[in-house]
Amino acid sequence: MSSHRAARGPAGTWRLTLATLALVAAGALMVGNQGTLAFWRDAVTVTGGQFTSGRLDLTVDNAQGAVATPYVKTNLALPTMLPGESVAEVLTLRNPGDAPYTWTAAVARGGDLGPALTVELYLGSATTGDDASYPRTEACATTTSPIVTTGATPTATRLATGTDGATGQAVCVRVSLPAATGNEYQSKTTGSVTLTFTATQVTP
Amino acid sequence: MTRTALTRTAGGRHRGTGPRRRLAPAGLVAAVVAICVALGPAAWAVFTDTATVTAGPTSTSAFSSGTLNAAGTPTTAQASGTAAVVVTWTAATVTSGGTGTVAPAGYDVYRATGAADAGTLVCSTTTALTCNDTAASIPNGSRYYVRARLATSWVRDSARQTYADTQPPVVTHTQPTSGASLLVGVFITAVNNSCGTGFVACGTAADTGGITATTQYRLQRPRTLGGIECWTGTAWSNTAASCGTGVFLTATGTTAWKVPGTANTAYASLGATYTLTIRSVDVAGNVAATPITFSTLL
Repeated sequence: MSSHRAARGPAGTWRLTLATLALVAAGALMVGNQGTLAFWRDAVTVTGGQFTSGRLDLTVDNAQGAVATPYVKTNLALPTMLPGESVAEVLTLRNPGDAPYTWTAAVARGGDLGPALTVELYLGSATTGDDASYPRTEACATTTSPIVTTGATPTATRLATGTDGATGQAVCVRVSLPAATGNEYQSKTTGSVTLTFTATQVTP
Repeated sequence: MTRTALTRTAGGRHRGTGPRRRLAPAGLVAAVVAICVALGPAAWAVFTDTATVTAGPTSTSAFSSGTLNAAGTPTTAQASGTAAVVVTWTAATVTSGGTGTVAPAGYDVYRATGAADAGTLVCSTTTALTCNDTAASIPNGSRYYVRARLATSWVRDSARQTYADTQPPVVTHTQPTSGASLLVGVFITAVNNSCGTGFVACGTAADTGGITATTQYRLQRPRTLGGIECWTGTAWSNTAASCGTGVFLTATGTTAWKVPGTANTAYASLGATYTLTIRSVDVAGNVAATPITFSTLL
């Protein structure tokens, strides 16, 4: 037995030392090594451009024409009409905004003479005729693009347009008392016409 | 870095190990797209704006209508009992907003029976302010009115004028004729040929308002001893019943009247002068009683 101990004297001690170091190293490794490592970091921030919303703002003759305070087209009037007489005026629809749009037109006739009136809308910026001497028969110069015509019941027709830029889109409105107007429409005093234009943005 | 990234992508590690992880997001995107498609354009929010325009100068009275005013109440006139009734009126006016004078398109004249019925169109004009009712029968008391026309449908009626028949019937003598002077034989033959045997005179009476049922006659001649005598239908007599002042006897017929008797008896005297008065009355009470004279020669 002692021989074994003597034999393991110096050499065994060295081996023990090595083993101990190995165990310590292994333990150190086992405790974990990442948290103890240092690394480089960096961040880059990208700033985009500004975002704003577009605008759709329909105007008539550059007036807003709010429902509560409609735009009054003063010259679109004809007092003491006789059958066959008519008046025509040009309205300019414009969108100072930038959204492409379509628009519709709706016509409402009111008062005691309203049911007898015929209202027609055409694209175009010119009128013809005379609204002073009898028979007063103003008309729209171009009638190839009817938008709205009214008979017994007013109707609205949708018309697709793009952006209209600064010039706008001219619409000729003609209001007439047809030659065949019934006898019951003599001496009426409260005829009225209201036009409502509704613009809708064109979806992408 | 680029190379590494390419290597990692091209190396297929993500592709090889993550097909499920890639398919799941792709399926989700497809589902979202499908929902959007199903919802359609309404799913898009859009800008809208309205602009309202009213006709001016005020929103409630931009338009008004004119008026076709009535023509003046017509007047009527008739030259004789059978002439047309001439209807005359003053022009209708038109209230217009335009400058210049507006004239009606024309006039229609109606003859009605009362104050409210539409009546019958009797004549029309465009600009003339008179026209004739030429109907064969125009009842006394008819109501005339003038309807002014403008454009297609506008009309306005005048007040009504009641027609008063003031003209007596028109009496025509077929035989003997007024002023005739013939030999007795010729005279009698002419009467017999025109009136038929059994009558000594004949003719007609007419009136647009109508003739009453009775036409009367008075045929007289001077008596040899002075005074007059009257034809009774069978003989000459000077009695008060047949020849008194204002006495008329009943003829045969009304609008086609005949005086009864035998011409050979009535006109037997040579060189005599006769006076025949036919009394015809229309329904308005107008009396025609104009005498004619004729004579026979020796």
